[in-house]
Order: sequence, then C-alpha cells, then structure tokens
Amino acid sequence: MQDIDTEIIEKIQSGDTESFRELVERYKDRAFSLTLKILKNRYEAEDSLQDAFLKLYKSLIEKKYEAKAKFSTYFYSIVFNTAVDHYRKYTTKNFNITSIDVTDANYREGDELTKYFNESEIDNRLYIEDLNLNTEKNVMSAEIQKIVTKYISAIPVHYSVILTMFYVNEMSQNEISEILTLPLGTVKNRIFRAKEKLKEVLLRKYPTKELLEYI
Amino acid sequence: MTEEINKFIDSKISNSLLVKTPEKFTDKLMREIELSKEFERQDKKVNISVRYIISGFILLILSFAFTISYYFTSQLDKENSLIESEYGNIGNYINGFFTNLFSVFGITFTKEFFLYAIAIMVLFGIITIADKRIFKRGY
Repeated sequence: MQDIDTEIIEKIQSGDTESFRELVERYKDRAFSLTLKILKNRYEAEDSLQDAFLKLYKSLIEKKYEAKAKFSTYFYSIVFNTAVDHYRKYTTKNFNITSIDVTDANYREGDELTKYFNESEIDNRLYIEDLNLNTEKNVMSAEIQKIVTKYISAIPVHYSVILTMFYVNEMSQNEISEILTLPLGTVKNRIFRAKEKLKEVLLRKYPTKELLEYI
Repeated sequence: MTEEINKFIDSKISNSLLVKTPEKFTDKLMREIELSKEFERQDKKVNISVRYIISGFILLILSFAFTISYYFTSQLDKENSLIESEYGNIGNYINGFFTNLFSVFGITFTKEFFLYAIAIMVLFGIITIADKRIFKRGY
C-alpha cells in the first residue's frame, strides 16, 4: 500500500496533478469517516476534508513529506488537525479527546459507552426495507448491523475517534497515541472497552451459540 | 470461539464506522486545486513585477545619492579652486548628466527638495519593514 502511495506521490511531485485524484480516491472515504466523527456535521466535514487535501497537496508539491515516514499516518494527522481547527471555529470550543463526561456517583467502568444507547429504540420495521432479507441469516445480519451502528453512533467522541482511527484508518495503537497525544495505555483501554461493551450488548440479545451459528 | 466472535465484531465495527464522501467530492476538490495553482501563477507574476519596481526604486535612490554627493563635491571644488583632474572631469560629466536627467522630471536640487526626498525614503523604509514583519508578505 505504501509502495503505491509512494509511486503516486512521485508522479504528483513531478508535476502530474491528475495523479492527486488517484490519491484522493484512495483515501477520501476513510478520511471523511474520521472528520465526520469529530465535526458531526456533513457540510462542515466536507469543508474540513477539502482543506486537509489542499494542505496535503501543498505539502507534497513543496516536498515537505519525506517518503521514509508512513504516508497514511502523515495524511491522517493532517486530517485530524484540520478537523480540530474547524471544530474550534464551528463551535468556538476546544476539541477535547481526553474528557470522560460521566459524573454520576453510581458510575461503573464502561457505563459512558451505553449512556445514550438504547436497544429498544431500534426500529425493527426498517429491516423490511433492506434487500436480500429472504433468509433468517440475512435478517439477523441486518439486525446485528443496526445494533452495532446504533451503538457506534451513541458512544462518546473520545471513543469513536479512536475506534475510527483503529478500524477505518487502519492506524496502529502507537500511531493513534502519537497523533492524539494520549498515553498508549489509554488508547488500548478505550479500544478494548468499546469492543467488550459491544460484545456484551450483542451477547445479551443473542446467545453465544446462536451468534456462532450465524458467523 | 472468542476469536471468531472478536473477528465478527471487528468487521461489524469497521462497516458501521465507514462513511462515504458526497458524490462530486473529488471533482470539486480537483477544481479547487486547479484554481489554487492559477492563483499561485498570478502571485508569481505579481511578485516578479514588484521585484522590478523595488529594484528600479533602489537604482533611482542610489543614482540620486550619487548625484547629490557629486553636486556637493563639485560645489566644494569650485569654492576651493582645486585643479580639475581627469577624474574631476568625468565626475562633473556624470553630475551634469544626472542633474539634466532629474531636471527632465522637474526635479531641482533645493534644500526643501532634499528634506522631502529624505522623508519619502524614511517612510518607504518604514512601510517596507512593516510589510515584511507585520503583514509577512516577504517579497
């Protein structure tokens, strides 16, 4: 992957602007997922991502990027910082990745993950609209995906940003810790807790045997 | 068993987190890049013109200083009745040339003129420094 990126970058640096389109196509969706997790507004996220790509283009032309560094990490750090800058302008607040906004006295570890998640709110009628629901397996697949999507959209931003970087942007825990300036232990812990809580939610609804049959 | 469930959860999380960009995103971005390239080309042209203007102005100031120094030197020469040398003749010739050149633009070397000229030069210097340090234009 890095080799293909390096090849494209060399073309861009030799004056082939159209090669940049190739780079955009390769990264736009994964970068947009991260931007949207931070800004939570499609128009703002689109603007921010456009700025990030323009910054990337400029830095490639000015040869600020050195090929010995991993391109994806370099690019996602631009995407993250640009989105944080937009967040400050857009909300006039600082983007805080460290805060855990749970102050309840009865708080148990992992509670903030399901604070806004309510399984009963998932509308079962929506599944009927989905295609290929002719078998029980497909119905279950759609149902599980809905639960996961609902869970992901309900978890706090300091979890969802890390999860996006890990699962979508395919960054290592070390790279995430560097970009977010968070201790490595915190990054590992948040990924683990988010996943464990989701597992707990799914296993509560579907017994292990049933889930394994489906897999 | 746990491994299988973990893999399954990983794939479901990845699917849920991935969001598609709007349809025309790449075309819009490429248009922006073309525009920024065009602006950069225009900026370069402007920068070259500004460099020529500044160089011309510096040349004018230098020739002005040169003329003034010769003007005063020749005045002293006349007062002290010094013997005109070959060098003096060339100096007088250059002095005469620049005096004639400036007179074409209606400039005569009076005391007020020097004061105004110095004031303009100081003002120009201040503006240039402010432009570079405050506005960070840096031609």
